[in-house]
Amino acid sequence: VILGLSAMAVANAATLLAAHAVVRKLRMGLGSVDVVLFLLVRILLISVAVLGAGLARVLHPLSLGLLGATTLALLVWGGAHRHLPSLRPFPWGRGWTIVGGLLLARLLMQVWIFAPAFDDVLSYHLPKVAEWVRAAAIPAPLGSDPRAAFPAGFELIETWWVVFLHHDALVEMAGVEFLLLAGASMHALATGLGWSARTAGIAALLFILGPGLYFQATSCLNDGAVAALLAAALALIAAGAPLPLLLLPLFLGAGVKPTALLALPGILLTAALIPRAGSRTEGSKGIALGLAFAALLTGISWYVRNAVVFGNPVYPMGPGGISSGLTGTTLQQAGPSLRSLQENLTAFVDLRIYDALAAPDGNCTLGFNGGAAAFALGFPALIVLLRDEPLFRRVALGVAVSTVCILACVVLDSWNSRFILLLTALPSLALARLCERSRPIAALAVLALGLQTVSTFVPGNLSHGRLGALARQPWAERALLPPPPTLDDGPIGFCSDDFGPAYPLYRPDFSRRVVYLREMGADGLLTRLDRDGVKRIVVFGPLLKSGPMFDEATRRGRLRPFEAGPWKGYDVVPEGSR
Amino acid sequence: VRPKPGILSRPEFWEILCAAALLAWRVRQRPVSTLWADWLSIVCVFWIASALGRRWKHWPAVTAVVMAGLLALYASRQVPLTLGALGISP
Repeated sequence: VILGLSAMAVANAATLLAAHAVVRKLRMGLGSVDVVLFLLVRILLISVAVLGAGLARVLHPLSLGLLGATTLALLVWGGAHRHLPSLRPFPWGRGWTIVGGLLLARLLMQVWIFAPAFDDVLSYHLPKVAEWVRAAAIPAPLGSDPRAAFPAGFELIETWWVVFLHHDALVEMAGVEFLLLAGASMHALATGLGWSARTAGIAALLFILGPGLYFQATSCLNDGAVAALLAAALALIAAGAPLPLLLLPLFLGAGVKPTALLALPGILLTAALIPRAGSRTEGSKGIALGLAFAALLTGISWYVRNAVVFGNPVYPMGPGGISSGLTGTTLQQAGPSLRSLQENLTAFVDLRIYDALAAPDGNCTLGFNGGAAAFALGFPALIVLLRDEPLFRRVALGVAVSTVCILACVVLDSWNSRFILLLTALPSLALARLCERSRPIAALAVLALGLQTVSTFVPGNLSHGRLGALARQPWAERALLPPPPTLDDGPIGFCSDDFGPAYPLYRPDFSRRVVYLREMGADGLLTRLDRDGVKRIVVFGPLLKSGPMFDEATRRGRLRPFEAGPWKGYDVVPEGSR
Repeated sequence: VRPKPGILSRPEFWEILCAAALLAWRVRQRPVSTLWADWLSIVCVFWIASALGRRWKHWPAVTAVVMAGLLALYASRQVPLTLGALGISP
């Protein structure tokens, strides 16, 4: 652990110093825009480091620590540390320091106590990370869920936060990186609109305390990351950044989730409406181009991988979208549909905007989770602001087009409001601006922010005693769904026809190998179990396809059903001991 | 001497038209008795009223009252859920 912590500290120091050195060379000279670029470059450096180490099959603490130490030594030798900004006195004032410090402390506490919980996370996001860390490489997708082949730019950052400790205790820090980017981007966007630093700070606070975006940061989900990257793109547009820098968040976004591409028309519209009158950057164009190229390689690597492995860059998306392997229902449509747009908009204004069906969580279950400020104050403020602020109108038009594009391209389900988290940027900005003009509205905003602060302590999916149970567990074993007990530490089998929580089987320290069973006959299954030394199999779901295989193996006396808490499956009876 | 701009060239006209169309859709879609608590209807009425009366000196106060009402509407439904998540069921 000490070696891992040391390597993590050195590698993080190296990325921070390197990101600072790069941004200094870019010389945008605009405070909060430089912070946005700094965070973007750090995310890019981490992505490149993890992807490169994974492809070179050296994804372990020692190699990343050595890489970090070498980089750090070179930067210090070149004098990069002498240009670090002074934080005394704090450049953002005492009030903001206290508020920011308290929120950050709460966020870090949540990172420490929360554990991965959502089905998507346990089924196909984090099994990828577990496989990468175990293999010290980035192999082809192994999980039984076809969505394991989705772009994994966010998982690169998650891997950064788990690989050093070989443990998932800090996995939510990936979301924190993007929440900071979201806040900085909103600040920079407000500044780019010509508003005061105070208004920009309020807008940032309103945006990141939107319960949906906030809980995304602590849920190992990637939609908050997409919203942050899109907000960063808008901030760079408003700041008049050169095109290569504008491409940086967009390429990174494409590598995090294809919804970033669905939002692209609106972002491009805003870019077209806000002319880059004489680029403000005086720095090296070569560095900006290099950053854009690195982001492009990082972003498209998943699509190239899928094209090579599956013959389809957007696998598992086909001409008919993605269907459930079990029920055949459409999980994701291909292309836009007016019907989806109508259904999603109707659900939004009829139900979701109220956040009245479920407590907020990172998945935006049954709600928009935009928060009290957006619902009550922000959207009405938007009506007022759109009349008076032509520049803001162009940003709002772009965000509206992005939202409509996304809603037209996704099937209505109970969780798809998480795809449009960028929309909360508009009420956040509008309300912050109106707070400047009206004290009563500012007072209401404080009240609404208070409500949002309270509602972002415990996400709905960790309520009803689950959070308490997590807090009581020793940190090294903390898991919402502890794995089933086994006699030894040997590999465990996993089978699900469609969708199942494989991640807990790896254990929080990734100490167990998980064997994904895709065989379709008892003979093949038993051969695989014997070859890999699997003694227990966990199954999930009704097993409409694989069930007969397990029934046959059970009939032959080689499998014995078990149930342990939420888990069920089969114990493997060794050949000859029947 | 420039002729007075016609009603069609006034932005307020188009704002009111848009808001009224949305409001008409809501009236058609939902029971009238529920519209007082319908977020979109309230926002549309606010939009129409603000297009007509935004230069009225008391308009900021009206805006604050509408926002306070919406905040109460949101809180009445959402706060119990948050309290439930915190383990403080009312």
